[in-house]
Amino acid sequence: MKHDGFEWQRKLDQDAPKNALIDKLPLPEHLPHSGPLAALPFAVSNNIAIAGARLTCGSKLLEDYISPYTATAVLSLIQAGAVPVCTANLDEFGMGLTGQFSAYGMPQNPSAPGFCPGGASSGAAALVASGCVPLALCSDGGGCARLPASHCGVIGWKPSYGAYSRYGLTACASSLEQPALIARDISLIKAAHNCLISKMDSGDAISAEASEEFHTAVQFANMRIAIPEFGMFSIQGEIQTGIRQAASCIQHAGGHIFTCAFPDTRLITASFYSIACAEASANLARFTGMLSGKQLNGASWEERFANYRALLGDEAKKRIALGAYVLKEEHYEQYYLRAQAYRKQLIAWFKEIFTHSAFILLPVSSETAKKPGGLTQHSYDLAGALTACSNLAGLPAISLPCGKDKDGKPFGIQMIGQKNKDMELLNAAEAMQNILSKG
Amino acid sequence: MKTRIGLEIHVELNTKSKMFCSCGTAFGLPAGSQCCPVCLGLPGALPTVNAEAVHLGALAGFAFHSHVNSVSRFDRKQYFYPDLPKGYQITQRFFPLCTGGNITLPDTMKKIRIIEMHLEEDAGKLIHKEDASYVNLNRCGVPLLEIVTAPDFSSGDEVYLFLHILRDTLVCLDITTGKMQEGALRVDVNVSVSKEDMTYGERTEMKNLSSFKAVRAAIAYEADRQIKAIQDGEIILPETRRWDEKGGFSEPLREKAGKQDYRYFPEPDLPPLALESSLIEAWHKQIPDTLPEATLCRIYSLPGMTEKYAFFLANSAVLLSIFDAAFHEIHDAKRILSWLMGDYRAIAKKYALNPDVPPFSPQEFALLMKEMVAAELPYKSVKEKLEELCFNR
Repeated sequence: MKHDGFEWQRKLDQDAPKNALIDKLPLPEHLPHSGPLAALPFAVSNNIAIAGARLTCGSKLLEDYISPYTATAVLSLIQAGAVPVCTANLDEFGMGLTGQFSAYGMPQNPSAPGFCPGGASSGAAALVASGCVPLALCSDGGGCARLPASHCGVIGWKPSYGAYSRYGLTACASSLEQPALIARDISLIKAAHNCLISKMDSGDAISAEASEEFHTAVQFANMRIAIPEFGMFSIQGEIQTGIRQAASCIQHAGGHIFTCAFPDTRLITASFYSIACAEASANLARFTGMLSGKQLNGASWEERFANYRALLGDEAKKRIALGAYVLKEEHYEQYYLRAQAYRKQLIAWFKEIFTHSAFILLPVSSETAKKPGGLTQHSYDLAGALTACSNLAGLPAISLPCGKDKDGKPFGIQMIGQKNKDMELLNAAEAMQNILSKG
Repeated sequence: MKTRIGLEIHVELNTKSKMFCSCGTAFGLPAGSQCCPVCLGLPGALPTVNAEAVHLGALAGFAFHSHVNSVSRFDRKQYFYPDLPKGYQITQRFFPLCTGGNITLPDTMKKIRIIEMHLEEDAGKLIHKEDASYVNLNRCGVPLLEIVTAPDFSSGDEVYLFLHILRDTLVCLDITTGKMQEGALRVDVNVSVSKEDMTYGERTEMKNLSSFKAVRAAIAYEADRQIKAIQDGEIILPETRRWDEKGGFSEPLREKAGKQDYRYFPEPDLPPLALESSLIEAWHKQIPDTLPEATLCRIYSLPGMTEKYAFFLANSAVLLSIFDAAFHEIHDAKRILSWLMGDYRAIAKKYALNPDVPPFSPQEFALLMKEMVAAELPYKSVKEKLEELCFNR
């Protein structure tokens, strides 16, 4: 007897955007009938472990590596009745904002063919945008779910840090990266969110107390919403218009918009990269060929390790080198500790903003999707800062489809909420999506 | 010229499971049989702190008059080596579990300062065979307490005495098995000697010391070597040396030039280790009133006491209470020990009694000693009375 699973596989075979898929997963014999996500197919970014499946992390290093265990987040979704149907491509070890840095090619952006899908969870966003899967479990370490979601015209959601167990996620930056979701439908994200909220025995020593209240109706009347001004940094015109339209919709619904200055994006980017690269340099040190993946020859263990690690892509090598540099004894204070000190300041800045606003409305990136290789250093830095600020502060953030530029490329707007008030932000985002679609 | 010695002692904690995962810690099981994604450092695996290891570390802290910190933190120490699957060791570099502390040497009452005690995970064990080298990762992630002393020792004898007190204390609190042959206690020794201007020269570190005797011998050898080298106008290199026990000499380990930079930074996968003050107090109360160190300081220098018997008594609450009761009556350690550790043990051997747990009470034995002195009983009659104490009950 054929079940829905075969239909999903046929869809993947026919419609999966080029390079978006890593592997299709074997279907369970019977599809689950019960659970809040019963028989819901989902894709899993290939840096999240599934027992028996390849865990390439988008890297040549782990081309043949099969994970012996399954990540807690995947287990939580399976327990809720959902079915993992495929693994999705990503920038190598989740490092990149464009989708260009996977060893398995750049996934095609189904909403803007020929343009970058955004990264690092490039394949997950492309698969959801193409309609192959309604939901993807991926990760977000600096915008890795929100950016590709914005570029592909779908929703990207990053919860509060610690809200979902990170056990089984091959993080490149432990204190910034966590499981995240991409979907077309916000009610699906809400349902999946409730299944993913960390339990005590999640295997992750760092877990936040996530709020579980589940109001549906959010009234913008009398709600205060902050919109940062970006001064010297230029945001693409259409995106500025999108933000203004969203703001006027909120005002129409009775909300109060006020503008605020945004922290120096160069400082956000500098501290983000210091911490992200420092953590990545240590996290990726385990890939020596000893236990995972392929073995290479060499006369000594040093040579073998080096030969194996030479298979890393350029972006990964660059970040490892930077991370090793900032952690050197003579640089530690100047870079790493300063970055952490700035991180504290940023957390305080957000706290202050949230004393008089419910959430912050801002762009996901300064520009819509670019052609491969077409990202300027300026847009790279700013794009990083707009999304990475919530990773540095551990705040929940969501990217919602907002509009299209003159070439028809989609872009999103971003909402950042208060720490551990994830459901409040999701409810506000749902209301936002409603008024945007009406507006 | 003066010698200055400091110790770094790695103690394998006697826990059921490893430092950051639930794998077992038993010694000598088949290679690779006690490993999981966490201790193998597989992609995505995360550590969680073993509360039992923290408890044992804190007990060691109280035992050695250390301050048990209510907040400590874990850090990553990074280096590549085949026995280290993650490419870093999780340790406590910046904020250790215990700060300060000391152990008093009972012969001179000299205080040896402890700088800190911190928790960390063990690495795997390399096995070199003819065809290739292998690594057994069973030991990987086994909880260790590293105890770092100040460079307060001036001789191998002081170190030898210190290590005995340290081990006896840890074993009596069940913190470790203390078995050096199984690697449960590992001692690295730093030695430097003073120059003519009384400043100390470069220090060398010695590893591969498999017994306390080896530690003592290696220190004597190294101090001699450095003094001779300085007298001959040679330069002492800050190097790591390996003690060759059979040959009775040490030689430099082949190492890369320059000081290694471990690129320490806070472990982002673990929150700070916070201990409630009520828990710290409860743990403190678990420390018995008399630990070997206190007992040794009290009895070590009594006339007639020997080092061997002092340690014997310090490690046996039963024998110590018998000794104390008798000493209270006759103030003659030599005679008491002769009866308690000599004649009684002979009786015990003859009649298959437990030599460490005599069948008489401290009061009974003390009374016998008192009577012996007061009535100037002859040896034979004391011996008869002692046998009576053992059997006529």
